[in-house]
Amino acid sequence: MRSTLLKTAKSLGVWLICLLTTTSLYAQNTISGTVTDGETDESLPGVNVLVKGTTIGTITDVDGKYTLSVPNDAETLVFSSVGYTTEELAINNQSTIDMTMMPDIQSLSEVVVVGYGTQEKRDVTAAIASLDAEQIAAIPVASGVQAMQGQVAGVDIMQSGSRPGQAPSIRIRGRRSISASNDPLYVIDGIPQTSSTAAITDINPQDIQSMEVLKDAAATAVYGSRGANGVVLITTKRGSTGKTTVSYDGYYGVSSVINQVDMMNGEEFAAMKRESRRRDPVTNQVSYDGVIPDDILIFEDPVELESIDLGRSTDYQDLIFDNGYQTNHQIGVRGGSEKTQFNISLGYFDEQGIISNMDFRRITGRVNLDHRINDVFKVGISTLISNSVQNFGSNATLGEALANNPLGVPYNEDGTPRFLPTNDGIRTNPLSELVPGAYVDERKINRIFAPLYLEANITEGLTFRSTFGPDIRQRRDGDFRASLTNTNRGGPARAGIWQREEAGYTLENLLTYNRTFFTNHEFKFTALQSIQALRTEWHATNVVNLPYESQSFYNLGTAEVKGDLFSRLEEWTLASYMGRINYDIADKYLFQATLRADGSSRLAEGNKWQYFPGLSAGWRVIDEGFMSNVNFLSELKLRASYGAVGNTSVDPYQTFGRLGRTTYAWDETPAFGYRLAEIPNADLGWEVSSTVNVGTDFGFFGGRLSGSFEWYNTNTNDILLERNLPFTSGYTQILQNVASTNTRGVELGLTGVIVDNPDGFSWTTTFNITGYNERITELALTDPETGEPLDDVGNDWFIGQPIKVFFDYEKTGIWQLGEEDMARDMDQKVPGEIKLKDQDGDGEITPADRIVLGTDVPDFMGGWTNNFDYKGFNLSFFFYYRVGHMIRSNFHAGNNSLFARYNNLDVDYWTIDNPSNEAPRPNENQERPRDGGTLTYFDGSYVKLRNVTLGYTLPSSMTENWGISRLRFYASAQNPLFWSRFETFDPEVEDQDDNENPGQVGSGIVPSSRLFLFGVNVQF
Amino acid sequence: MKSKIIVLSIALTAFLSQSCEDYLKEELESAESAASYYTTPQGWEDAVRATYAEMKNFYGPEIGWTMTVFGTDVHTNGADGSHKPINLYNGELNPAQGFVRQAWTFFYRGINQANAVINRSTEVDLPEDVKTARIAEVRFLRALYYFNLTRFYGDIHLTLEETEGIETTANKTAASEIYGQAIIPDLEFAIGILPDIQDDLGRVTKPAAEYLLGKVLLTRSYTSFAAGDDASRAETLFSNIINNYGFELAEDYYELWGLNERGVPVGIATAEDNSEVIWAVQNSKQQVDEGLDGQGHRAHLYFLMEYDKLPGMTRDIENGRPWKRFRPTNFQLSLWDRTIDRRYDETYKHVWFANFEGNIPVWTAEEAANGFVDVSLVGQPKFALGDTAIYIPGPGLSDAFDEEAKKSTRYLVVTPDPQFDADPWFYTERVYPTLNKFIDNTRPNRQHVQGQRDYIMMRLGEAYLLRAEARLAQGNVAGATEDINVIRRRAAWDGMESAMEVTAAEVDLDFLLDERAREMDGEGHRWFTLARTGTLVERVRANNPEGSPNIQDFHIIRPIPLQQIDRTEGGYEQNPGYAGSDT
Repeated sequence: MRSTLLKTAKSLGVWLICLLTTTSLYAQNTISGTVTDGETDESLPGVNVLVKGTTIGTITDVDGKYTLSVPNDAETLVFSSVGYTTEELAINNQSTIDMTMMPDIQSLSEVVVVGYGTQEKRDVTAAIASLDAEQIAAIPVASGVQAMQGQVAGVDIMQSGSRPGQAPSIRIRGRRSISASNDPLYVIDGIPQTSSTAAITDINPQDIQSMEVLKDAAATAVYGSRGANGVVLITTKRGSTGKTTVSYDGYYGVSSVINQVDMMNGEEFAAMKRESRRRDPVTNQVSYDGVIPDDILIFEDPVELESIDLGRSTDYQDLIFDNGYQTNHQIGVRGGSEKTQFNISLGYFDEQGIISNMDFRRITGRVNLDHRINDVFKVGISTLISNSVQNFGSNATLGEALANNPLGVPYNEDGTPRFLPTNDGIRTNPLSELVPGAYVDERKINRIFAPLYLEANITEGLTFRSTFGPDIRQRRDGDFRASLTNTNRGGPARAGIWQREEAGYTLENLLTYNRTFFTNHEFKFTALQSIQALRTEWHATNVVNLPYESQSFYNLGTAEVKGDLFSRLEEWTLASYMGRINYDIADKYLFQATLRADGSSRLAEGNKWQYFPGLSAGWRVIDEGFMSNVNFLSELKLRASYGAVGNTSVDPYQTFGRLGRTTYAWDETPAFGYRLAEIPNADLGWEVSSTVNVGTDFGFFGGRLSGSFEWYNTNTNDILLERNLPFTSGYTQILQNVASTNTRGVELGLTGVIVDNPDGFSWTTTFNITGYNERITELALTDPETGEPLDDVGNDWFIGQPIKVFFDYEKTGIWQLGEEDMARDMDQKVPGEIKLKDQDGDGEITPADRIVLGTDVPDFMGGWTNNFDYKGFNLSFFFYYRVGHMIRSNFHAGNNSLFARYNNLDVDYWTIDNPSNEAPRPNENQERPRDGGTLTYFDGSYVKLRNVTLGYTLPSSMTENWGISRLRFYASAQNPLFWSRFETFDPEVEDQDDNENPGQVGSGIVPSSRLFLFGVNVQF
Repeated sequence: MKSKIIVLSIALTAFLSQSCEDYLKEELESAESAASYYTTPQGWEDAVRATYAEMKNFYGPEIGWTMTVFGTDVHTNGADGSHKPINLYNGELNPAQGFVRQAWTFFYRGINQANAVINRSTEVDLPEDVKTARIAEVRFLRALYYFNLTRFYGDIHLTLEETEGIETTANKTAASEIYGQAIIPDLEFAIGILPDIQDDLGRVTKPAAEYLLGKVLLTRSYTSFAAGDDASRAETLFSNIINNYGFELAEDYYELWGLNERGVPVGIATAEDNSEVIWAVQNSKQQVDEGLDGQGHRAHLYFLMEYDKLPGMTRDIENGRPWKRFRPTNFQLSLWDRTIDRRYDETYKHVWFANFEGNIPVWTAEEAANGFVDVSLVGQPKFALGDTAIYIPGPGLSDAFDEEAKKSTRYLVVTPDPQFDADPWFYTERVYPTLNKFIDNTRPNRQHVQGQRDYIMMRLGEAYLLRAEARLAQGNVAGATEDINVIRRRAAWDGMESAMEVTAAEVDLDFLLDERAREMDGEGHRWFTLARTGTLVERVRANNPEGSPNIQDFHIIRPIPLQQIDRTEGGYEQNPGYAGSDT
């Protein structure tokens, strides 16, 4: 491996030296002039002025003026600036050359960031979607990822309730793996991030200039081993030459819970409890057709009887939900001279959740600097310093609010929370969690991320750039649980501190070479060498029996019982080489080829290195001569690509077969030991996905209707899966390259400019829809005779099905009176219990009757945005939809126990007088109904109106009098409406605590909130 | 130009300077792997200790108690817990039942650990005699794990080799082979090697191995594949234990649990040093208190009734954290003659003293009108902190509490049945006589679940009863009677020793099983005992009202866990009677 790379690098070096010898120097003339904007007639600073075919050039100053010494034989000057059409002018011995530049209105010449460079959008041959600063800032959210939701076809973003500061989950073109991470790779200012989605919550969305999503493998192949889940490129705003602008953006809004769950009230709870106590009068055994005993025997707690007498009922949800707020303030200063540009910003984000002890505050500071040392060298840095504090809050707040007996009493006579609203020792008062200081789970993150680069324009078209990106992220969780919390239930207070320090760096050396041959053959070569490392240290201390509670977690040493110390070290490294060639003929025939080699420390010896190729081609049909008469088409490009990418996001050290510590003692002498915990896997290797992508970009009627369409087919092989093993082996699972999947999908994005009147009413609409089909094609198990792949029931993996399916019995109803014999013979059940479908018709319910009920993969999903403009007014609204997936609701598993000890969802349960087929009969003898899991599957489809914003920008003629170049006010509503068949909280709530079981609604989730806010944008 | 060359050379150096092999080498610092650690003497000894530690997954936590205590003739379910199907024998005692799966998992993990110790012994640099001694210990443990597995599940997977690599198949070996190829040879080997006493208290000793082999042979003697001398060999082994090692019965029954004659804890820490204890699973006070041991002895939770909701009471360390899992059946409560037998009185809790002022009841005008109390005391608390708040008279003494007595007594009296309409204080799934054998008032706080008691797996008292059983099996009723009387005399109130003695005419297997219920109440053997003697189904039907409607003949073994079947390549045969079995 090494020798191959050496050879490649050496031959590259020789080749480069040959190229360098072509540059030479001549005698000089001086030319000066002024550049102006053709529309506004204002002078244009920052325009590049270059002698064509050389590196000789300058930049216009604040007044749009330039002076340039040119060689005698110079013929043409090239003027270029972002957002303007590049112009060329013959020198013809003139010494003054003024230039008027026209804004480039064609959106197709937008520049998009691709991995390791930029490309004009018209030249892109891979599936890349991009969002600009305006789109990102349009929706007030804590993180840039959330702003992407529904805006980009093929990107599936799921919120996890409205706990402030919680990172959403993001999947690009679905999921490939279960055990390895499915998070995309984030690349911020060119540096691949070492941590997952959480890392970008440190970035203030207002600092983001653009976000690009690389979707197909041809695009992500430049990131090789980490490209399998897609790549999100985030570019932060940099300074610009010219007038210094100062801007302020701020908003403030009030949030409230979207909806409350219909739990039983006191009367309904009492009825359920009575039913659950029904007993056979002779045997005194629980019985569906027995009699209900007297209330005095049913309600053990005097409080219950008192509430029944008084008709008193407590709605705990009412007590815990409050209004929250969200506010954000950002001040930015941008500007610079020809040599130095800067962008400085300071941001403050503060969100108070709808449950009082959940909040999130973040302060971010950013300094982006670029400085040109001389004609050759340029240096720069992007610095992010961020501090965030999340008060995670107690899951027991909502959990207890739902589970507490509504016949209980939540307050003492003096108005303080009554710790046990009933005498049930398990059910504590949710308000006790909210007593200030009682439940502390404070998660503080400090981060410094400061990539710096040195760029050298070695000769015309040849650039070398070296970037070093240190990234230090510290997280400290401080925990405290007072005696009167659900954790301790009156036991002594406990506290702990958990710390993690991540120190990573990336070093990248990038060489690019551009050259045009024969007039219209453009050639671009990119070579990369990169290394990356991450070192993570953890330590934790947990103590119990604190002498005084006011110390919170700041005086652990005083605890009576110390113990549970923990520390750990984890390190990984990645080494890479990448080469890329772009070759455009006449701007019509576009080709790109890439090859990346990655070596990962996390994989087994001999499997560490892998090559990842990518190939793509595009044909700009619209630029062909024969299209010149096709007037209704304004853009047509066909694209095709193939690429392979990998996934190495497994925890380090998986190949060793680590031991687990055990505890024993000889009398009172510790006898700790180490047991076998993992099977060493010397074969652990890369998970590789290869994708074929076919796409087209099109525009009709002068760009009034434009869009793109993609079709892709991804085969993922050697998928890393945590494979369940029979227990008789002494192990329960192993991480293995075990399966193959196929994912096929389509994505369509459309933009329509329906009405376009810059002076009057305009209406643009964008719509995207995407769908994919995921299926397992191979598993480790094969039929010994035919060699055909076999289903792996022990892992819930089935050939032809998605990786995550819900495999269970199917509920058909409730066993009714008259079906006693059948209920007993089929499933040892009685009327009132859940009736399952006998799928194989053998007259008995056996494990063979389990089927695949559904999957968490939606049929289709996407978003629809509308923008209306009228004389400074702007109205936009945005719908997000996700249809056809199944969810498993742990929320229902937890709150529909029909055990009559805890409060219950207000379901229509069976009784001898109520032949319901919805829910089984309450029964005090079971903590959950038998086969109650079958009550937790739901159609997860929903449509959400995510955002409505009405804004007004004051005319600049008015604001300029006040020294303000732009002033906008807006009001916005987040999540004002949604439609769903899942009737409790929001269905858009993935269980974050359970990565192994995606598609689940968690039981401790914080319900979604609705936010109404007002904001202002000012620019001086 | 010069600067360009410098840049270029920097670039080239950067490209070439890395040695990727070293850069990508992975080193494990904060953990150890078997390949490197088990080859060192310390590492291999740690592997041995880990084999012991697997016992703690079962002996101590809820799973072990649940699978051996209720679902029998003597204990039924209390109000709480999600594992009631093991008592109810209903359709939820099925292949997906959690404890059924976990027990299977833990024991096979322990077996693999034992196999690994043996397998890797060749690579470690230790004297041969040390290695052999440790191998004898882990072979004892492997035998224990296989014995439990085959007692619970019947025909099972057998392997004496460490799993190396990915194993997706499993065999179903007849129980006779499990005894013949694994359990008995392992124990015979252990007996040949192990010392009478170990320096480290808790390491397996020769008498412990003999005791287990005795039980194994006794168990096999009831099976279709019994060897003719199983019972006599068992008797010999128990006789050796009784006669030759200096074990002695505790003078007073209560000493074994650190209680006093009223069942009140007085010194738990010393209970374990009793000379009656032959072998116990070890728990350390420091480890359980500091959370280093997440398991510990948890039986202090399960036998307690819901005292903390009753008037004058709140939960505290002294009275324990009541999880109300296991409730004595009326049959169990009927077994002791308390006039001569002191075992109920010494291990059950009788009185709860008021520890909570907030809910002490007051005398009512109605009670005064009925003459229960002087009118002047109406509105006054019935009792003060520290006074009796609850009293359970228990078997034989409850009759004194008729309606009037119950109503006029200032504290709450719990009787087996209600004494008047709407009398709430009688034996229910929440309120019932409470076995105090495992109470742990030394826990650091009232919520703490990990108790410090050792799990006494083998004691001399049971050795007598096991020898009695072996003697009965050989028709030696007189010998069995002698052994039973040893135990009964110890259990007699002072002066009642002869009244406690029984004659051979009274002794049969049923009597022995009843005596075991009196002597071994709640100690975690009952389900095995009934399954061994073939009396499980009949005794549950007769005496466990919750289990009796559902129990069937196939319940003498547990179902094979569904996940084992699902995960095994080619499947795995379910035990007869359970959903998914062919028979």
